[in-house]
Amino acid sequence: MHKIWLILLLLISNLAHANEPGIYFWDNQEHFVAGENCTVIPEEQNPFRVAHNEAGVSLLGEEGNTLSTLPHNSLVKLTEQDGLKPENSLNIEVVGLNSESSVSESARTQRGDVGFISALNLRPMDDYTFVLTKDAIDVEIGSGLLSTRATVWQLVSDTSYYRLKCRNMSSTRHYLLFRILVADNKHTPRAYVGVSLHETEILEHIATLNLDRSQYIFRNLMQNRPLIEALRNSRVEVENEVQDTFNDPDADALGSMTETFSDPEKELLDTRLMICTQQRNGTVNIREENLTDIKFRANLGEVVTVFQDFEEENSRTREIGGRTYTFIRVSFIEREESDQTEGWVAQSFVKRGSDCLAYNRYHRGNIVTEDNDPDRITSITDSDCCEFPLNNRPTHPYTSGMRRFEANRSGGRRKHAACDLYRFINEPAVAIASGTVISNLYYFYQGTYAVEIEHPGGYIARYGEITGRRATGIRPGLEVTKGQRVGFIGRVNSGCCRPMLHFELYAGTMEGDLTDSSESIFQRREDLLDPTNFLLRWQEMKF
Amino acid sequence: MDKRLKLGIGLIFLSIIALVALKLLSQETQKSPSIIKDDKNITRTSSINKKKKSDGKDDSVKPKQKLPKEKSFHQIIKKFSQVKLRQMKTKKFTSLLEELKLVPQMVRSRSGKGRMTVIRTENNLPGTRYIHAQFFGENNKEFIQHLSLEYKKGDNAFEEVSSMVKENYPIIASSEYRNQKFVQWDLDEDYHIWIKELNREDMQNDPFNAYDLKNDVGNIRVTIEMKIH
Repeated sequence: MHKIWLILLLLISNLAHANEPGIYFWDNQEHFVAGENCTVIPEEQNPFRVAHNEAGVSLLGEEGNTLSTLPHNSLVKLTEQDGLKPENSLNIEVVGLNSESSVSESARTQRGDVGFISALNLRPMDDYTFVLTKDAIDVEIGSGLLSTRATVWQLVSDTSYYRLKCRNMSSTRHYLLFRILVADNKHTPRAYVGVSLHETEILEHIATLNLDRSQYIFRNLMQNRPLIEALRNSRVEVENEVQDTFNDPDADALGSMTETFSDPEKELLDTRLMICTQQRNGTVNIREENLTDIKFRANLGEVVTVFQDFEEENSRTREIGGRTYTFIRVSFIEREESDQTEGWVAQSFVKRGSDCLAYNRYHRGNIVTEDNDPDRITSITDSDCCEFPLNNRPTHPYTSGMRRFEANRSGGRRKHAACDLYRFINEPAVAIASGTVISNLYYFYQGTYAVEIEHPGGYIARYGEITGRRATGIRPGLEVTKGQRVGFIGRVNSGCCRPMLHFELYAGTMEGDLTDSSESIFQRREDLLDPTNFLLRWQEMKF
Repeated sequence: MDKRLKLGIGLIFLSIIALVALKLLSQETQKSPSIIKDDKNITRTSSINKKKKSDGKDDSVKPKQKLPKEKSFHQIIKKFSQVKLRQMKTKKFTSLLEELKLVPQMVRSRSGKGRMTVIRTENNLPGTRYIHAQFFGENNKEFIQHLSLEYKKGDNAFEEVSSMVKENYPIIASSEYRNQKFVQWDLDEDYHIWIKELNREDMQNDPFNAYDLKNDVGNIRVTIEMKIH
């Protein structure tokens, strides 16, 4: 097949041409970026797929176990992964979830989950269209002209797919071209948007229209209309480390905010390091090693870890705009973008969440009410409580052997303070009930981690031997709902044992840390409970 | 003189000379290092001879020079090991780090209905990094639950670290658990120490340490932790 280059025609976007569809590309941090001097190139490859099975699609682990269930007609992207894989399956990462779904919350796959899907359950994206639902990111395309919610997205695939290439986008990325339609005008696209495999957040919340419904829309489209170039909206590169791209109506208030958190209050806040700007929508430049070239931009609240160099070159300085900045190298551990995960940033823009006023002002997190938590209970001893902390039955009984509560440890000098629930690595662990997150992830045992949640009635559960991957919405002070993911099953790095969830339960009637180095045979606080009967009851209710 | 007599005397004389020559030759062989093909023997022999001349002690085997990273790690581990784990408090630990000029950073957060304190460092010694300690409790009930650091990868990095750990900590040799790239020993009833050559899975999603998942594979992590499982 020979490739034919299409050369774009027009220019200019002004009020007179306001109805001409603009061309943009999507950036998870900067949202819609107007393309400059764009060309469109036919493309054979498309890494996106639709997961198709009306009963839900199983997302599998490397051993063929079901990690979670993907709603029918959700959107995924193909990825590369090393290691084992189930037969006739493909590696994928979840991009967007179809809102029309009967899959329960606790079993449902989430955006960003990785695993394997049977090739039989994957369909090309071409035959579907996607409506961004009310939960989608609420941003505007093109300076207030169009809001994204309720827009209809269709992959441009006439005789081939198309790749958008603009002067102001990364040369190493491929951006697949989508048409954006609105309900009141299905004849003319309102915009064309390039979406990269690496940044797909705009497609997280979707309602997928299947072939029949899509064909109705297709009939109304002028499919052969030439693609039109937009914008000569050149973005001026300003050598400021922070770009305040939007006016923040709270800016004045924020500027006058001088409160600081007292120590006890700080302990309830997120203590992780993160990007801290003053403005809610400010972005910070992340630079290449030369400290000159800008790699990408980062937003307020993006969590980072800081590199230490074995040769002790942990920071560098550079003068920018008459001001000297000290730069440190950071890693972005929660980004989707696999090609934008590390770079150099001015040290003054990296702070602990507990020290970042803007972050704590704008990131309140989940608020659980009776409306969104119909199973709200007053105690884990309630008859209709709780959820078994795994989505599948353990592979081994937790009432016997080394897995049971009170099993011997250290030759009998200590007793096991938990039930070990054996499953497979990376399967989700879920909250047994609604509650409040007490701690961030911390090192627990042999390369695994733990998190603590306080549940109704004051009971505290420690979910141990989980991986370091943070589940969405799990940080100190935030509330969780029953069945919400709290982490992912890990495996101790000695290789001694199967992956498991180490589940501890406390009555919450005492003060102090859960772990107690005193002479207690469990080395735990004295309100430690035997979780066995609770787990057996919850297991029976769930499976 | 009779010709035959002269010949006989000549032969005898030659034989004597030959014998003497042979004897001399064999003595030279024993003496001369240059005949030995192994250079080490030469060095050692020379050293032995020299040393015997001086103090009579045998220092023919010179101590292996420590690499900078070994020196760093040794310095750190030696300092940490001077304090019994049960007696290690945040204040003491912080002062040890200050002595090493590592600029400790302390972060407090909640755990249970108590407190957890994490101590890391702004600086690091060459060839090492990511010192991380977790303490639970407060004041006289404080105790260390986790202490770890990292050592730069290299050909014998695992063995270097193992050796220095054994040199400085009272490991219980009989408790050893070992598999490929991992070894663990008990230190006492409550704590053990493990050494691991890190792979990609170990580093992925670490919420504290930044990693380059391609280039950092092979670094060595050493962890002392409570037997909490």
